[in-house]
Amino acid sequence: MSVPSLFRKRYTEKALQKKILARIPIARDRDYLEGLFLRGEDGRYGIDPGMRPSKAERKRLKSLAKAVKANRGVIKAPKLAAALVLLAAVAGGYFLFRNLVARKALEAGLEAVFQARARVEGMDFDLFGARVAWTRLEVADRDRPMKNLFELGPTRAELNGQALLRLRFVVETIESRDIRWNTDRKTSGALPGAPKPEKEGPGLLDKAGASVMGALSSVDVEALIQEEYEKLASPRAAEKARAEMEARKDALERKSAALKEKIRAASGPAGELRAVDIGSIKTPEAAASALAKANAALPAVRELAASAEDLRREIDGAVREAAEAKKALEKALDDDYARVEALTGLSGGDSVSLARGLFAGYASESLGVWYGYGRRALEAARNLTREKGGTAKPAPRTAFQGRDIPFPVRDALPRFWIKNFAFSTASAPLVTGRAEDITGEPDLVGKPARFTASYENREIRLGLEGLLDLRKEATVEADLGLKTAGFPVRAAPPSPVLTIASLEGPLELEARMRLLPGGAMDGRLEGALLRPRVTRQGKGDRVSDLAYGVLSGARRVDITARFSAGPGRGMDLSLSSSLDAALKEGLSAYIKDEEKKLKARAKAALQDRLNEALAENETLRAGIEEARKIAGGDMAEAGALSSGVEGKKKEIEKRGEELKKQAADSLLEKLPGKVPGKLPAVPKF
Amino acid sequence: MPIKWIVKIVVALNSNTRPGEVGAGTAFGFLLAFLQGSWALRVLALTLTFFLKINNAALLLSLLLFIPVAALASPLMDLLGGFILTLPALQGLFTRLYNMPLLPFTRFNNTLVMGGLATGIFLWPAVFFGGKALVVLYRTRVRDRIADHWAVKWFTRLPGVSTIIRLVGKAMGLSRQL
Repeated sequence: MSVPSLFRKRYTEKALQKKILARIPIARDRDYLEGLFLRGEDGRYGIDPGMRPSKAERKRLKSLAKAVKANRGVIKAPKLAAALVLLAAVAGGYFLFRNLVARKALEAGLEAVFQARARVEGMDFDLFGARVAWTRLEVADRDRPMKNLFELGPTRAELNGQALLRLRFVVETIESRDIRWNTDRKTSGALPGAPKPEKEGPGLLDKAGASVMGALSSVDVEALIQEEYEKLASPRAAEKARAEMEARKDALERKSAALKEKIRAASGPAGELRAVDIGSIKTPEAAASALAKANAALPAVRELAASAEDLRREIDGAVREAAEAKKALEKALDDDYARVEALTGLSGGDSVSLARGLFAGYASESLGVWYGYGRRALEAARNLTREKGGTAKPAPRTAFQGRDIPFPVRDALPRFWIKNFAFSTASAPLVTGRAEDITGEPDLVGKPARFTASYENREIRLGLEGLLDLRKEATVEADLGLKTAGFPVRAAPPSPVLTIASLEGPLELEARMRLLPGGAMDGRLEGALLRPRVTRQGKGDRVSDLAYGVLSGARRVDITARFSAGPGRGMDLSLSSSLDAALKEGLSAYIKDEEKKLKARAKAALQDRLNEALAENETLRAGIEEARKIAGGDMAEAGALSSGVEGKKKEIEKRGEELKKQAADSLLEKLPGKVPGKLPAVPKF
Repeated sequence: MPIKWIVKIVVALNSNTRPGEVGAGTAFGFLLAFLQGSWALRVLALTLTFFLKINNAALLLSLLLFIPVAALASPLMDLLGGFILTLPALQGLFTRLYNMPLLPFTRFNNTLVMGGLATGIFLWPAVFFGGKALVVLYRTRVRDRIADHWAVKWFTRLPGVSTIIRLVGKAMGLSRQL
């Protein structure tokens, strides 16, 4: 019989109802089945075992049996089982792959922050225990791919489980032993596609001031004059005066020559007129003739007089201008002498700063390194902010999407936050340190990241503390403090200063550096170089011997500096030391004497340069004076001619008048009686 | 796709599928349609239906049917959700829920989500029992009338149609009564 097994069983009435009939919703099918189950002698219901169902009936019974089985319960057991299996697989996957996944995630995060390869070994991640540990972690240096920025040895971190449930990665404490930095790598730590590192070096601090101590031992006056010559006023004044006087002299000579010519031209007629004897003029006609001669000569002599006057004015003007030019040149000379003297002065400011000469290079380089580290730390912190803590842009709203009702958030946590990080080295030199509140959302945490570190190795001690503050309202991005004791230092300027090639010794230092928004930095440092050892190079003179003596005998050299720098401007370093006072005192008399000599040399050198121009000007002035003298004679002659002709004319006119009167008187005498003594009165009309 | 769901519904109505399964499918489809704006709640609801014995064709058809209804009712959902979320008596509860892990991802603090969730849950029993009653009604009153109608009989006897019905019946385990 091919009746499904479900229907071959025998059921009590209740069981039949509950397990079979109640699971067949369609009445017709239910009635059909009910008809098949017959009550037996045992009180149970079952299908007749001898039943031979047809094909159609078998098919129907099969589908009904399937329906009865399908209509059991409300849970899909196979799918639930599959889900449980999947869950078990996930759990198994978690236990098998959790460390791999955690390692990959940590490496990716470190590479995003530091922009260089990161590697983690021995990862042990326990999600439910909220713990993570590793045996070794290294992060390469982006700017030096064959070096590691830092390495951490065995490290253990405790996470905040509650925060993990809220998808917040909060590390309560993390302890790391055997921290190292600047270690070598076997392979490059550059990320694929990363740009080539920039040239190493202080960069920003390249323009730190150079020493000016060279001025004391070898000032090249001639070179200084040569260098400054273009900026001096007297050469220009001398040239100007020369050009003007030359032009004037040429004009004077031309006018003087013209005057001579006119005198020569006027001399003929004037001479003829002068030769006229007034006494020989007996008749009015002779007087008129003489007068005509005088009138003919007059225009020429009058023009002559005017030319002479013009020349006189020209000469006066030239002389006056020459005198003014001389005064201006003398003033320019005085000014230039004073300028050159000032350039060769040795008694002001940096000129005796031996400290600046010796230490500027070392200070600039060290500050540049710390400045570079500070900027890298800030850059990493900013990468962290972008990577972990940045608020995502809200998705653009399209259709009606309702309104979000905000509820108070208690204990808002940043997405990434290391509360405490303690580290130390496993072997000498001993380095210990602590960092607090490293996070990508400093505004949420409400505190800046802080750190301290100390280094000890035999006699050397170094302490570092500071903070990094990337909160919106922060006025200082980083504030770093450094203290050292017994730190070996070797300060060697690029070229020996006063034959001093280098200065070595243990350094005690206290420094503070602030990094400000916009990339600027400022700070101060106070330190002392103890029992300095001095190395000399080259031949010494009195000054360098004195400097060497001061340095060698010093038990300590105190150094004070203030510095500031910013993008686009170089390093502004103001450095002074106790050396300077000692050196200045020892050298003061010598410096004064040297200064005096230098000034005299400078003045003499300038005079030598200007002598030629001055001599030329003097010659021209003398030439103008000579021209004046010569022109004076011509002018006098012109004046004499003019006054002679004028005078003669007046005499001739006077003589003419006399002759007219005589002629009139004579006529009257010749007509005595013919002319009544008294003429009759003219009748009145 | 909807054709396939319709065929499956017809099969379910005419076979020994429990009316409750069809009713539950319809009710869950209704709930999913109204859970607009929260993918997390929809995933939760769908996960539940994955493990329950419900008629998936009824679920999908119901979802298709109620999505435009839910869209049209959005302003009402928004008002309802705003009312519920701003009830003073519930502020403490909502604040606790908001500060719990993972719950904020459901976006329950959105007015549309809360309104849809409240409507879906409140009307779920009505839709379930309504769907179930409709299935029973169809089986007791409508099915036989359709099966005995001269037009249906003539249509099913058409050569091509009868072949299709036989094939579909074989594929879906159709009852001999159809």
